[in-house]
Amino acid sequence: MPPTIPVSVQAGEIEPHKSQKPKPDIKAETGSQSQFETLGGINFTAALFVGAAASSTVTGLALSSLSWLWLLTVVTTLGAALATFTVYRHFEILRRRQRPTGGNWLVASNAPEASTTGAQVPNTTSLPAVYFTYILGSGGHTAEMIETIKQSFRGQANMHRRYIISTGDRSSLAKARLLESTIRDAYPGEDARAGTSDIFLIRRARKVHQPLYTAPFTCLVSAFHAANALTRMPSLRSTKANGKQFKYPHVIVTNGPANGFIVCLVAHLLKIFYIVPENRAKMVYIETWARSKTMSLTGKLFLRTGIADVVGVQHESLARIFKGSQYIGPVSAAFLRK
Amino acid sequence: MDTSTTKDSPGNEVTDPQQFAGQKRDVGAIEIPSLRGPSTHSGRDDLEIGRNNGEMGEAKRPKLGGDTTTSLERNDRRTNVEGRQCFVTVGATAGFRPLLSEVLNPEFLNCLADNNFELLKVQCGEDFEWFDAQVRSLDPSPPLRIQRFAFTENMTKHYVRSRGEKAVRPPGVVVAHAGSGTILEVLRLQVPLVVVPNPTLMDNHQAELAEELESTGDAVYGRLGKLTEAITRSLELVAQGPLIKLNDLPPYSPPPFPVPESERVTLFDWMALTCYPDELRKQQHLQDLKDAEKRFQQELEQASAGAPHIDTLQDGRQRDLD
Repeated sequence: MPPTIPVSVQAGEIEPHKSQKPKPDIKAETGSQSQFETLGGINFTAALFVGAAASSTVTGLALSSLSWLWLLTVVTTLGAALATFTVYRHFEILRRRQRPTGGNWLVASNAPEASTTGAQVPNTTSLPAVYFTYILGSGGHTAEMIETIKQSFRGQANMHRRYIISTGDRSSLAKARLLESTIRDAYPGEDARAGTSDIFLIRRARKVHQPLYTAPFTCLVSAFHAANALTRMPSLRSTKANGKQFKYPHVIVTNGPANGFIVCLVAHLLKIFYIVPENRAKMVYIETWARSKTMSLTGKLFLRTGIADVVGVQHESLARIFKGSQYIGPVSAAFLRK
Repeated sequence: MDTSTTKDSPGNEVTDPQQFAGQKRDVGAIEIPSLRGPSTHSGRDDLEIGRNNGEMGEAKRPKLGGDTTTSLERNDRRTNVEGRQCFVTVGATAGFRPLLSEVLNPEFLNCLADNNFELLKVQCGEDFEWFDAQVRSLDPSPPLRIQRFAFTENMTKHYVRSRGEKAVRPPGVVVAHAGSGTILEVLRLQVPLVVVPNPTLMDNHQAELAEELESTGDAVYGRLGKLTEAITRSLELVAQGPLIKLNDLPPYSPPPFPVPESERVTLFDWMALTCYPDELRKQQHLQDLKDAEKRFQQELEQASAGAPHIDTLQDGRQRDLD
């Protein structure tokens, strides 16, 4: 009898994952449901292009009648003014930033046991609006982010959640939907405490085998998409009470994917040019739990630029090494410390 | 013990039902009326496939059992224990051929068989065809069953098959690449874990994670070429070490959602409050009051617990002096 090895090939699992191409109709799929926002705002992009074309035409006409020296002077002056303004606003925003003081508010699971007053602190249920934007990356990043969201979730009717996902990242999309259905199950029926949510798809900053020289352009495209995702009012809220309060996100949470930095950079630029008010779009960067001694590139970028309100790390050893980062507890591995 | 399983394999590739039944027949010696074929133990086979592959739903099991099993049979199954499983996973994003080839090392397979492992299950990712060919060409035939597949979205059931549950199965082991998603899920399920970082990856922070886990005692750092040692170490830790709690676990139940208020992460709430300065000031004041109250109560407890003790000591000294 020939030596044989038993094999169990399980139906549905045999096809290698690389053959699973992302379905091209991903936009249509999400767009058909009123709960989901469609990709890329036509109006926003169109307005932007028209504005850029008009201003360049006017400038071109005005400058063509001048000599080269004049042109150079004007361009340099305008550029310098813009740069000065940007830098000034950047530091102004950083300086005016408000943070809770005292207590150990940064550390996870901070809420103390029921006290004599019986009040839960912090309590955001009485605010007119609480609008979180979560940026989901790929693989482990998404898994950690979903866990963090679960650990921080409290059902309240005034909460809106927006998930920003790269196009083609079907796994993150599925995980976000699963989380939303979990929340729905926890608050069944018409229980308003489930809040509202939508999912926003933006262009990937760089595809896996994309040549490097085209990367800036695709980054620009995803930056436009990000601006759209940050400024589009949630359709589920716009007609309801306090709808205007949901115009811009209150807190943006990211934990490492390249898109996360682009979205945060765009949010900061929007603040610099007074499009988003300064008391909106607070940014929290959470270094992945996998890093205990070194910081990832995205983390270093956030630390250098200072655009994130909080750069949180999940290991105390890492917070000691990198000045400016703060220990926030193992928010995506809370079960480990029980 | 498991070397006998390949004996009565009729040469078909998808044969573990027959084998498992053959093995079971020796132990249990209970015959079940046939459901579908001439083979007298096929009813039992289906049950075992269902349990091992995790493919048949829970719902199917009671139905089959209800049709065919006696109370003696049910009792037998309750006390019967599934064998150990070693589950190897390379993740979805990149292949990890060195790990796959090490797993098929005769030394490694024998180590598993010696430690009463019954099943080796491998998630091979993009190297599925290659791995499949390697397994088929194994000579001599492996001492335990080897199952393999490319990838699945739902890995949880495969991890759970290695979970040490009371009266179901002894704890096996999961050998995983050092992806944080995989590691977090396995640790959450309380399954013994060996982490093998991929040295060929450019950005090799995976070793950093593996070292951290080894130092906290949550998992074992498995190095390529020394995987046998890692398995033995993991088994030791679980048998008589810090991981002894991984034996005889109750069936896994997902954590409560939403999480209890006392364990909730409140960082994002504070950040949302920074958008409303007045409200932030109010809440901070409340928080300060709460902290003060907590401190006061702690001091009160210390004082009330400590005071009589100190008194008696002083009294005693006083008496000694007198």
